[in-house]
Amino acid sequence: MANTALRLLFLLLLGLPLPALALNSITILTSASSAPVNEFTEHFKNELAQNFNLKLPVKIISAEDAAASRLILSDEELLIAVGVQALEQAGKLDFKAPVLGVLIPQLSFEKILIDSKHSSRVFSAVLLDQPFSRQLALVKAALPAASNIGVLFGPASLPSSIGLQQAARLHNLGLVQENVNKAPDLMPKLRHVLENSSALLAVPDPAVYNRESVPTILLTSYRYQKPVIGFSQAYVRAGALAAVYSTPRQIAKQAAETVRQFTAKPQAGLPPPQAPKYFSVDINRQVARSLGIEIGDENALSETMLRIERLLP
Amino acid sequence: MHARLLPACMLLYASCMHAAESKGSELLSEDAYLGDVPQVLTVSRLAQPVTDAPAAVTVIDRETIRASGIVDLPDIFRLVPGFYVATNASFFQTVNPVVSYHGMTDAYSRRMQVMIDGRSVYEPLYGGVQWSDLPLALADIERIEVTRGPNAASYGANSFLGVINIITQHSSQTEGSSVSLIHGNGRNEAYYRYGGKINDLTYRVTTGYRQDDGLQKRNDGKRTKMITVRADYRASNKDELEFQFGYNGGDREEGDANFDSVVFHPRSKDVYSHFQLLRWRHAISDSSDLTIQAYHSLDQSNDPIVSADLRFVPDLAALAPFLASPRIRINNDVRNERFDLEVQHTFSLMDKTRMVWGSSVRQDRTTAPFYLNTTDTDTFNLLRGFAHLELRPLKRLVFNLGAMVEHNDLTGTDVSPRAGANFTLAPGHTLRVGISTATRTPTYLEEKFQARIVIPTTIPGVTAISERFRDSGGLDPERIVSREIGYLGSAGGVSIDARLFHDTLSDLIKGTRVPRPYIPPPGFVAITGRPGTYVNDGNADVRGFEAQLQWRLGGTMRLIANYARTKIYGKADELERDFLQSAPTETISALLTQRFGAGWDGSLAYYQMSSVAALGDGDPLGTNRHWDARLARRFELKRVRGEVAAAVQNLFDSHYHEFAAYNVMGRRAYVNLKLDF
Repeated sequence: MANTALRLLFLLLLGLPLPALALNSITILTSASSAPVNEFTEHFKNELAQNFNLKLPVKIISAEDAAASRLILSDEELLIAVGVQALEQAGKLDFKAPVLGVLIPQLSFEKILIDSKHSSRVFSAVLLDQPFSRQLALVKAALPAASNIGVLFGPASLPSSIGLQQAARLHNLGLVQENVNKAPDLMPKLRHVLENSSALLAVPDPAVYNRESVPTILLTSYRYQKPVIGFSQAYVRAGALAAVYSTPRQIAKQAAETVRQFTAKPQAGLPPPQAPKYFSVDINRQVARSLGIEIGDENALSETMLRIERLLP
Repeated sequence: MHARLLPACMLLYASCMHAAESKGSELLSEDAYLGDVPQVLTVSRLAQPVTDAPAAVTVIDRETIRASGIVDLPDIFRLVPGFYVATNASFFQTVNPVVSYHGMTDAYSRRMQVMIDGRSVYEPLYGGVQWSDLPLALADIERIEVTRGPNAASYGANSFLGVINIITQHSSQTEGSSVSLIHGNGRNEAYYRYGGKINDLTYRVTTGYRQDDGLQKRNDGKRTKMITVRADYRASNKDELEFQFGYNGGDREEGDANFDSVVFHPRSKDVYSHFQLLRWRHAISDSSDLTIQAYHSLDQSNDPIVSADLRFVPDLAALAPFLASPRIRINNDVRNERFDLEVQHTFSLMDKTRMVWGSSVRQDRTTAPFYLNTTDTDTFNLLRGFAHLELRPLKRLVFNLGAMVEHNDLTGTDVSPRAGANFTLAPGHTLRVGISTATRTPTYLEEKFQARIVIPTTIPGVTAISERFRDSGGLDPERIVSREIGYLGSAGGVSIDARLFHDTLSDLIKGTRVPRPYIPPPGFVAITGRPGTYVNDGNADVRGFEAQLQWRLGGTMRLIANYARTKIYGKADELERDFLQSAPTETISALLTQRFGAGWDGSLAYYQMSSVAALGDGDPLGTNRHWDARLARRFELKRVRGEVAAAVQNLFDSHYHEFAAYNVMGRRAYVNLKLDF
């Protein structure tokens, strides 16, 4: 109690907007219609209605509508921004309502937050990026014999490399890291990483992994007979050995839980940007067989991963 | 914080407004995580793991090609157990290395199928492959898959004794510029390669020039220019197009005065070939894809022969006063054009089944006025259907079933089935049993040659003729049934590939002479004896054992060692002369590579082949042994990566012979400089 009072006082002194004391409605601002965006929206509404019994009115606006740019929300409303386009829009608007972004890559969230006029207490997200520890748990579960993992960082993802280095130490895995600053560097650095590691862990960065480079990366990795751990289900279909990812439905579940916690205690503000809690694992069996990798089924792998994470120091 | 953010926000607001107008912003969209990614490693692209393969497959990778120090591609097959490889500066139609699995070959290796990226380079005229005519640079090879044994179900017609499938690098793997220079032993080669990318299209162009004086005392010099182009275009997330073009042309020396100094005397031919290939790969789903491939190739050699002055030929002394003209002219041009279209569907059901099936149609158009005794173009059509099924009822057990049905203009319809089972004894140890069949279509040499040398005289009604070949046609295809037990094991850094085989060959085609009495065609007077012809006669059993060991020690040493023992059984009087001795009883080869650090690496190779008598122009030869060595230094200067290497073949200069007594192999040394930038 005293803590909250002190916080409120502190905020008052700083002249920052006070968080609302109640929540009246939820507005969902969606990016251009796409399967993931629609899937999230539908499941999110269901979760709110069924599981949390929240009787709040829910409005849905598309960021493509002209009305979206004139959106004004009071601080008793909550804005859920689905997708980068919507969050970017929300970041530019000047209103008092707290904003929770969903289906947002970490790199984009950080950029939008810096560019926006909102404070981080009222501007948060449920991110798409899986925690490094979980990705390395997948590596250990799928490739128990792996000792070194190769990673390519680009200019945008480089700051997060420290986090990966820490996670690798915890998991007792060696890290072979190369930083790609310009496009011609990609191939030689990729080759170096593949020659010196057991697998390539893909860390999202548009400078490294983009529509043109992904086929080359997958082909080269296959040529070196090294598996790739992707960061989405599509990567597994394209030729990565495995990936841990979260579906829009799983994000919706977590977003609904966050909203519920927020409605219970709005003065606490939104929690800081969260990594996805619920995840799935996908495996490309053809690639596994072609590389001679024995791999269990997805459920067994998920369980092994949870066990590995639980046993971490 | 606010104070700093405000002007930044103003700026960003302005740029954000601009971004809102353009379709996307520079922000990483959620599409990267939730959207589609181009399907790259589709089922047909994923190689079947060697442990699941129904046949003995040896894969030669780029590193082995580099470390071996070879300059001619055929030499790399000395490192595949059971292969017979011989440099041969022959004097007729080919000045070409001989490559054949288990021997049983003359100068023309017609019992082997050779493909480059799915395109057959098997020549229908004499059979075999003109290795020096291939538009292919060694540096562009990704890997070579060698099937030791028949493999008709996968590779089609004439995959008889074995199959060599050369796969070139995807153009995305060869971006940038590369220069390669080779000098040594009367041989100079220069290659330039450039690879680039434009959005979803990657491409490479390789050009090369080769000047090769060949073996000493043999007339086998070559001067060839080569250009190849490969482009890979990603049309959509599910579609990839591949285009290839190649040209290879130049002068070829041919002929030997000892063999023939009158008509096919030492001379220079103009030989060129080119091809175009288009392939469309479409991913139907995660576990199925469709490939459609079409190619066209043309091989041409121009050989306008002007004979020696016939008045001074001792054997023709009787004719000398009556010759219509002192010299005769023969048009020995050979032109072969191939059109091929193939459709293939690959799919996988869960984890348990994988199936490849498809169909292809091919037409060969051959013009060889001298050999076929007509200026007409001979057309040969081939229709083929194939299917291969891989079943995995248990995790440890894989069944492979396959068959090819082929119909061609020469031999009608044939079915070549194949069956096998692979059983995993323990992780890393696989046992394979299998039986595979194939047929070999007769070549033009065997089926349709009517080659003759005609010498007109001034005597009315008398024309001298020397009939070289008079094929009657109607030959049956040769057949092979191959049975094998194989073992694949790997533990630590050691892997072993061993095989016991028993092959039965039947309806073997052998050269003979037209039966007596020899009656020349009406109006002609024969000046030589019975012409050659071909018949199906003879069966043979081939039995043996082969093994390859690969050992990687530390990260710096690699050893490949091969051993093969082969024995051919049959009735000598039924079979071609020397057939039973045409496979070396024992061959041993080894390649040891060591990385020394600071960019230095070296390799040492040993090759040993016991006595063998090749067919046709081959001679019985004793045991051959020789050593090769190579030393290389890699370096990096700013943006340029390079390698300088010196290779010596036949290090101790043991003069030995290959294929025939006239091929004398001395010591050869080459220097190679390679730069990538």
